[in-house]
Amino acid sequence: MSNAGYLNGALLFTREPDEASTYYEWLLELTQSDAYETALESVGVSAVLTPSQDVESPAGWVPVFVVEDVDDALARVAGMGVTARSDLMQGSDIRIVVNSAGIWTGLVNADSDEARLSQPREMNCDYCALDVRVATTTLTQLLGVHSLEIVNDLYNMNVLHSDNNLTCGVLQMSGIEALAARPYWVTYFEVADIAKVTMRAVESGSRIVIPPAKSPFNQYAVFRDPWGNIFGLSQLDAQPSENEISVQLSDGTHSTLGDTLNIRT
Amino acid sequence: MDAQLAHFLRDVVTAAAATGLKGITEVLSAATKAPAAIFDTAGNVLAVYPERSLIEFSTVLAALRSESQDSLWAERIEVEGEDLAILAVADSPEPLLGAAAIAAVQLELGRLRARVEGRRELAGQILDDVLSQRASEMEAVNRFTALGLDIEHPFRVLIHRSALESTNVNQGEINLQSAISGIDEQIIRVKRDEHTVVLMPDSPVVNLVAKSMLVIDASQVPLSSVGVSRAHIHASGLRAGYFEAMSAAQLGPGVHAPDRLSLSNLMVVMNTQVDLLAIANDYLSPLLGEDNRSVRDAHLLETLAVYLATGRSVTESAERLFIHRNTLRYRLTQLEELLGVSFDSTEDTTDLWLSLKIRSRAEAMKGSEQ
Repeated sequence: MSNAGYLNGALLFTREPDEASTYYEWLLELTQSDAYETALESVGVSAVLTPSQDVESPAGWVPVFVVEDVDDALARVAGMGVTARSDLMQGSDIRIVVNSAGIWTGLVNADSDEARLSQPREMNCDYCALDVRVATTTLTQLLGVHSLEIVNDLYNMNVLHSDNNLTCGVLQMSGIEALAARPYWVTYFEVADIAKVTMRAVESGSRIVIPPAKSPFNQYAVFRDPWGNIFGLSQLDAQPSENEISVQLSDGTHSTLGDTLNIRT
Repeated sequence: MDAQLAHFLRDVVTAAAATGLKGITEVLSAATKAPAAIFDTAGNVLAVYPERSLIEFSTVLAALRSESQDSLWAERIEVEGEDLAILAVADSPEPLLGAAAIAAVQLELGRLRARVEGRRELAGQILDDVLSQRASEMEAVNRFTALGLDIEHPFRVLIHRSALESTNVNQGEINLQSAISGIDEQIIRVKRDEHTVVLMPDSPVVNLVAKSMLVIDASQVPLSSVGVSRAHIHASGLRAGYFEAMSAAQLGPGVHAPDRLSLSNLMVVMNTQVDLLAIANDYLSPLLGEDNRSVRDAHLLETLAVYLATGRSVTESAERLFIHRNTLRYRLTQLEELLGVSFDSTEDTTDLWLSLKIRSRAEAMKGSEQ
């Protein structure tokens, strides 16, 4: 089975990358290591980098997805406002693209050594969109995946998937028309106790953007870290409720989330 | 009473009782048909509805500063004279609804604050008992353990000192999130006069916590100072750490984490019983004006400070002062005669060094108060 459509991990572009790496290792209670990226790599962090000073560069957490072929992916979204930036991530197989809203996404070929064979269990991500329909269309084309829509969801959540694997969520930002908002990715780290890690985050200089809240299958919270980068925490519900969540597939038929996707592996 | 207001009051009281701040934002959002959020003064969103709404704290602060609130309505929420939170709505509510919402938030914050304050007062009592050596080692361990801090493992003391009488930014001094979630903080905060004392387990993020306590201006320049102790264990370590952090916090704006405690700094900083400045001025009086503030001979006072700061090195002092070594020796002889001391006496040089430190600290304190 191909790994295309998997979330491969995430890159962090930030000031003070060494300090930021140490921070996330501590926050997520990972083993402290001398090689500071080793522990983070185990939860899906591909690299922690300093943004380029010379050219417009990504900032914050940038999710990286596996696609069958990056060039084919870019051809699928020709005319949709997505631009590849070959001047970034030189020496790596990861290609960075930016959409018309200035939001950065990473892509890597399925046959690359940098592509994971399985998705990191400790990480997932959502795209918070100004227009869910447009964002879903662009991302499904770019990543070569399918989408389904959660029925009667307050945030019009769409779930992108490849086979029965979750790729990412796409959801509507609420009521921000007057606030000059722009879309953003949230990279979530899966934790065992979201309330406890939220407290660690607040005490250590992160700021809560969305306080712990309940979704149909998890609790989540969104923060800005001490350098201003947005990240999230997730705690899957102990009792699976995916089978109670109605979804509409891209062909118009209805099913449940649990029957369509395996979101726990 | 207006029927809409009556409904709103009933709903907001019911929601506050059921789900606290979250319920209040939900009712307010429904009434205004716009996202509503409650921030603490450090910028944490305590509650927001709809839950996925993204209201930037910088936008809220801008709305507070501006008289016009066209795009965002924001009001400070004060409890017992302390700014605790900000209520923000993406569209202005009717004035009476806004006032009712503020009152509901105040009531709820008062309840949450009482919970945090109770723990903080308890921690303050233990800290006082440890510093005054009223609590035994075992008693201190047990009482801190009950508060969630294991002082048998390495911990740090951080002391925040603000020269400002009040700031608009409460740097998370009251962690309302702790009261909302019901999870005890791993960091213990105690308010002592103009200082905030923090006790926390030693970890790689100590410096980040210290930075997050600083009050900074719009250009990111620190306006306050945070002293960080070395890692210690036990009650004796807490006393040492407290004095280390307190001494470091006097070093000026920014975060200071000295490698070891300076006893001379400690003496100068911690003494409150004796008027050390009067003694220091008396010691240095031959070099001072009659008011003890002005300097009669600035060259000699500077020479004394540099000579002692360089460990009594004639060569280095002369270089720093841009004078010939013979000129320096002449000035040192003058100083010995005027002050009635000998630079060969350890006791005399120690007294002179402390006198200079005391005056220097008094000057710094005077500057920060202006």
